[in-house]
Amino acid sequence: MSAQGERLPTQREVSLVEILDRALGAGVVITGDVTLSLADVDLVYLNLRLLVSSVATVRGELGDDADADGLVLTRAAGAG
Amino acid sequence: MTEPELGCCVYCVVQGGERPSFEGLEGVDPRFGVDAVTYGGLTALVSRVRLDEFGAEALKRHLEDLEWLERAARAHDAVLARALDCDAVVPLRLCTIFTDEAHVREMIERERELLLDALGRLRGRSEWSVKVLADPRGLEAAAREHSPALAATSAETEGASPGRSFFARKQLDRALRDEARALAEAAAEEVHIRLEQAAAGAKLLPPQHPDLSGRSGSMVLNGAYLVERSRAEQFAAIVGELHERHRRMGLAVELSGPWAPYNFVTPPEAQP
Repeated sequence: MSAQGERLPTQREVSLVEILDRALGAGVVITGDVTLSLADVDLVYLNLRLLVSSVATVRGELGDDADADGLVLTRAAGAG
Repeated sequence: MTEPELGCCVYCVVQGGERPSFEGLEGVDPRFGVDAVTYGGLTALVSRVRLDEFGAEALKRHLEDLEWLERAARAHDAVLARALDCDAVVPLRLCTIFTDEAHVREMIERERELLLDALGRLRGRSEWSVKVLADPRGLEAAAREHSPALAATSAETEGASPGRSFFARKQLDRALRDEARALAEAAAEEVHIRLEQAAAGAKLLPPQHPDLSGRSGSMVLNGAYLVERSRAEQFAAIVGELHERHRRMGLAVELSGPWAPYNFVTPPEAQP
């Protein structure tokens, strides 16, 4: 490896979802005194999916998946 | 004006003797840089955060603000990327926040066994992400080539009457899609098995939704692999080979990393 911590040239711009998959979706879950419980983080992740999808909808880039993401909203709202 | 209350965000834990350079690194709260808290032979990388922004309630609100979340997540990952200079690193989840350093030391004490075990397993290893993306058109062409029966039906449909041709085409489309999916799944499995052999650990992650990944084509494999750092180049070469082998059928095999071993902090038997 040339420089540690450096991404491969083909993937220099690491996408947000790639980072969230790891920073939010993985990593050891240790409860801090101030922070969220695991359930809250999962909820946030669902809401995020919705948020990104709705941005895409506004831009008209989204097709048939809008309804599926609507279900996510219902679940997330119910859990919160 | 009273000073805002501060908390302490923990990014990861490394061996007590390790000191990655924090120079120029911003914390998740960009007002503060990264520091180390060492206790009982273990070091936590931390940074101060303002609790009016990172307290439980405010955090919940901010995490749903995509711009805020992106900045925080990238800052978190930048600290973890720097921590890869250490022999071993145990990444914590984004925004694990304590009231002060005394509580961080308490946490280190409390989680000591888990942390030491993880550090032992992760020493000298990094995580790599390999994804297989399918281009539907390329895959269907490969499916036609792969299945002589489909190619024959395809030729027949061309010459059929308009009415017959409509249904025949629908049937053919479905058969093509099924064949294409089967091809993609078989290829994804082959890729995963080959990489699993070259890695010290492997984990299948749910494929990313195309709206989130911003990628065209569907993701048929989203794998995380724990790789010895000394073998990273060989691993990348294998990914390159796999990409070449599958490119003709509309599949792209992509590598990203090295990542801190986010997906390998729990022992293999505890993983689903």
